[in-house]
Amino acid sequence: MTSTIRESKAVKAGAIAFWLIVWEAASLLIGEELFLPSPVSVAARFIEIVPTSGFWTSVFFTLRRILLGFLLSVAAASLAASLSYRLQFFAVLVDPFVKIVRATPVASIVILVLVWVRSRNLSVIISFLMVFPIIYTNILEGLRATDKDLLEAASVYHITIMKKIRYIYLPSLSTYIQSAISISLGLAWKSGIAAEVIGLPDGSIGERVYEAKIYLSTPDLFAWTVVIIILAFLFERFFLGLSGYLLRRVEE
Amino acid sequence: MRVFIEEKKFGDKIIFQNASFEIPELSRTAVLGPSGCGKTTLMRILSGLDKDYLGRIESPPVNPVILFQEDRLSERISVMSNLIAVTDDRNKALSTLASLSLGGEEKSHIHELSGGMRRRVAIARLLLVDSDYVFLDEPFRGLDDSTRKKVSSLILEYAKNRTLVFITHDEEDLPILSSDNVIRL
Repeated sequence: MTSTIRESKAVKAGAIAFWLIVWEAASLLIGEELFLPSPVSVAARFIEIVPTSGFWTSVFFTLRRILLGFLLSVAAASLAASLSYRLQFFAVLVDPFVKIVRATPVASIVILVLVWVRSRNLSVIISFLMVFPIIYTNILEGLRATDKDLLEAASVYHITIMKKIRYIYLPSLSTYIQSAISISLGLAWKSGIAAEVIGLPDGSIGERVYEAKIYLSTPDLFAWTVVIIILAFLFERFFLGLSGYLLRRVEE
Repeated sequence: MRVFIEEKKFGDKIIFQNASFEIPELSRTAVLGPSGCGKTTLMRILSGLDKDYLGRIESPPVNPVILFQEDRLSERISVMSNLIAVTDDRNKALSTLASLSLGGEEKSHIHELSGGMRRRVAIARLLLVDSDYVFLDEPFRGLDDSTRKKVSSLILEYAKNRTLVFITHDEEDLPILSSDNVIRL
């Protein structure tokens, strides 16, 4: 078992090394840092920017807002999905909103929202809007897939609503919740940063990315992109771990 | 309880027509018949789960408890969680499990259990709930002879001072549950 895990890690590390070599080779071939900086210069720039206070200010600025948008969306979408499950007219009412938000390009929504709100809180609203349809659809689908026979038995045994949620709905929803979180977290980051690049709120990661582009500082652009990837990865790991832990507790 | 069913249909198929039964209070009534003759449908009508028929029930049961033919347990949670869903008395749940030879299985998940063990968990859940009317649909499904005896004595003990209606296709179940009233379909 341990050797299999070690082998699997070695294969993954090998794949990463392969793409770093391809990147380095392409950078050498182009020979122009402006178009494609080498992994070494991106790493050097990354190491340079991380200890600065500006870096952490930008990271926390963006992190706070995307996190807030994500959590508000999870709460609102869960509530809306529960209401839609119970009330058909509510499901009909919410359906066009979900379909329109899902079909509209992020850039259009960002520009529209910028008309109404200050750019400072733009990423909260954008990550909220992008996450909502995914969480809503998954939870509603999970609720509708809950075993009807089990619910009938619960009604015969006079199981309270809180116990139904704890012992029937949540275990039935667990795979839907995990899947929704996995998909929506990545989207929250992508859309949140895209919104900041368009809206340019002061002190955000989006503004740093935009400045890197304006000043033709491609290593900075790459370094900030690496930061975004790392944050999105940690964000996903944390929430998937947390939701997995909570759902396992429910299944005990 | 007096039951008059003028007609019960599934689509165009007539299941019952002009049928009437009586289930005396505190009796142990067996509903006997071959597979597919409508025993479970009748149980659903008697227990009030199915109201889609022409007819009437006089003195219908109030809040009956039912052992369904399918176990209807929450698969992804533990045995104990399935029981705690119907009672807050953890000790009573544990002793009921032990009386059904399921001691030590409280942390097992339902999907880890055999068919016979699941059936006993479903029976344990039934025994933890209080009701004047008890409906059992094929209660011994998947149980071997010795377990069947143990389970039947627990059910009979539970059914004291309650009206018991059980559904079976097996005539041998009638003496096991001491039936004193038989409805043959």
